Amino acid sequence: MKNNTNPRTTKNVKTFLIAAALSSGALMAASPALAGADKTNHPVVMVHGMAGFDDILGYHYFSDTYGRKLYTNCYWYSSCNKYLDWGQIGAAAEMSPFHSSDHRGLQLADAVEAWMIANDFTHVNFVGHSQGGMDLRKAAKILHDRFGYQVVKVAYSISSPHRGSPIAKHVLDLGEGVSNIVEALADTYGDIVYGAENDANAALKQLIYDDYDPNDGVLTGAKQFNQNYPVSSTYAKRYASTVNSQQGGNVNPALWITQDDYFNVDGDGYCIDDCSGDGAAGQGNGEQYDTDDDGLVGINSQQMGWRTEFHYNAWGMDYLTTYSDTDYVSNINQPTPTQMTSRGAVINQDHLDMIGIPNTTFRIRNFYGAIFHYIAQYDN
Amino acid sequence: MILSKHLTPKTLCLSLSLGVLVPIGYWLTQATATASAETPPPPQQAPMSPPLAPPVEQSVQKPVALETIDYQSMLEGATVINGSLTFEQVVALMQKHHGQELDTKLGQIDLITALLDYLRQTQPEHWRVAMQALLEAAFPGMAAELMRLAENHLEYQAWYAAGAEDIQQLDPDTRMEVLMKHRSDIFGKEVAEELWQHQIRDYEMAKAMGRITSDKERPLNERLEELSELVRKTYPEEAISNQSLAMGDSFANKFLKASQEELRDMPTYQRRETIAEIRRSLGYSDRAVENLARLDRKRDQRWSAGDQYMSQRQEIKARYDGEERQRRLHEARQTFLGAEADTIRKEEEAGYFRFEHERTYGIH
Repeated sequence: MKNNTNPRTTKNVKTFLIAAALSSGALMAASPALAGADKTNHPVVMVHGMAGFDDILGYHYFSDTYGRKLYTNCYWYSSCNKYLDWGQIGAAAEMSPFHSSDHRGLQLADAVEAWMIANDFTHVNFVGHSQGGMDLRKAAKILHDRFGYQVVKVAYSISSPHRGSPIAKHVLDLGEGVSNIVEALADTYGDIVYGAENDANAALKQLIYDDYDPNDGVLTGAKQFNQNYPVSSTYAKRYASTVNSQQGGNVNPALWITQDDYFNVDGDGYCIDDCSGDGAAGQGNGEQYDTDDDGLVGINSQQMGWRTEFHYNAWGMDYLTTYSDTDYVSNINQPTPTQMTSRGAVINQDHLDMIGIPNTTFRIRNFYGAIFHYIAQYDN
Repeated sequence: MILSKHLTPKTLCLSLSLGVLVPIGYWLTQATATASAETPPPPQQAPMSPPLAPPVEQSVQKPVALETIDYQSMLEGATVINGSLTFEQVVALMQKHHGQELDTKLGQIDLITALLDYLRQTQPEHWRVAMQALLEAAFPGMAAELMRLAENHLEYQAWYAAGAEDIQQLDPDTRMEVLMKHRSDIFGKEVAEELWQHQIRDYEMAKAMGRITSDKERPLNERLEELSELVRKTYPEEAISNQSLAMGDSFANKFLKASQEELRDMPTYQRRETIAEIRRSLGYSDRAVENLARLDRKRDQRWSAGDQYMSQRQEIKARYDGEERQRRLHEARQTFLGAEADTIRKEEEAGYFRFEHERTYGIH
């Protein structure tokens, strides 16, 4: 079943609308009046970051303040995003809450392979938040291995620490304010971290740019992972990302471990690799308390492929367009100074706002509608 | 997370206690002046499709206001509104985008949050007066109810923000209990349960699923039957019949993960039949079940090849060193792992060995 029907509203949907107008079923809560994103040509898979895909502080990972899912259409589901086309196919993958991207990327590929085969899909798009934006690169390669062609059309990341996060190193080092690695993660993500399938050490090493322990005989870290699973047209047609940041005092309290009292990322300076030794590529500019990170990830770590620009519409759909001023990050380990330091098109929200964790004022359903719309422009 | 300093319960209460001190004319004067300006051309591309079945009043009440909005088409299918909006234009947009949703509390809260967001940016100092005026103009019969909902919404946001750190550290059951208590205190029980109906439903379903799947005293088919009945009662048929599209949200996948001990103990043919029955009972079509059965057989082969490779790998590591070891490992990977040989080599360099992890039947 290919998700490529145009125009936006299909015959089936029209039939349904007539039926819906005559009935008062549960789906009447969905609005036939509101349209929004173009329908993508291929289905979209949401890829969660750390924490459980259906439990991050009591919420589904990709849901709004009221628990409505951000990726399901309002034709089949009452828990849905009204900005999506009623024929849009979207789903969320479930991976281990805390693990390396080698593990999570494989889990993602396994889940997507089964999903594609079950439903006769030929291609998919990925939207990954945080570590999910890294996992999807590995999954794209495995899917290429298994299907023998470029399976992924658009690979989109949000707030992803592609070039590492100083927070991961701070926690692994048991830096100030951290007495226990797992407890530190639980402070941010809740008790999902205590699940048996987790490997908190592997998860954190993944998010440090360099190999955390050069003497342990294995190569971990974001730099090596990026070499193994690069931005490549072999694996995906188009790569794009959202970059976001917020000043310390406004971030979600769940991220306070990383804030003023203990540690604050200075994430908007440029250099090759991790010249400052803070755990992320690039360096700071000497000012920790400006809008240079989103509470967990510096802006110099987040761009993969194209950066997108957010266009707010007071009423109706918001949109994303390609922000060409920072150009394309083709080698994810070697961004330009501009790509690491530019505040152009940076969205002013924190790491958890980008998935709608309350108490956010970000119009999260609208934002995800905009992502689907952006994907629809490129996934043919 | 940003809460405007102007939009807090404190300012709200202040505003309420002082009455309407902020001049309503501020917004209205501004709107009138703008409205009398030259009418801009109609948009080349509207940002939203027109309502498929708009109520009559929407098509006759404010057509002019909507037509005068200055839309700008951009690249990549984006459209933005140019310049500021007049009072009439905002009213028309509210009616257009939210008018048909106000029969539910979630629809009402969508309007309220959109309006707050808009006023936060355009009139942070006079938001309450402006909101009152806009609601009365757009939805005169519901303005008071909507204002009350806005006040409750802000009170809840402020309460959550003040206690978020503590709330988030509670165990899931206590957290849900605390949240629903405060939501009920602020909105009233009925409204709170309507607003958070989806979160409540998912939470209760997860709890029920945990109870059913962990009850290993009962045979698997009984547990499956109970879950299947519960799912069909809890979720609309439209969602159930599309379960093969649900991926992580798939009830079958959750049940499979929770039934691994039993599946592992079954002979292969029985395991295959049981997995198919689980999928079929929990909303997968016959075609999806057949497709996945084929994939499961392919996975059997992968795991078998993986086991052989790991044995050979161990042997090679015991016998050879240096370049010869690498050459032989490379050959073994090519022989057993085919197209994934390169990926698995990279995994091994990172210390990750996929075939050392226990297999989850029906999942990978």
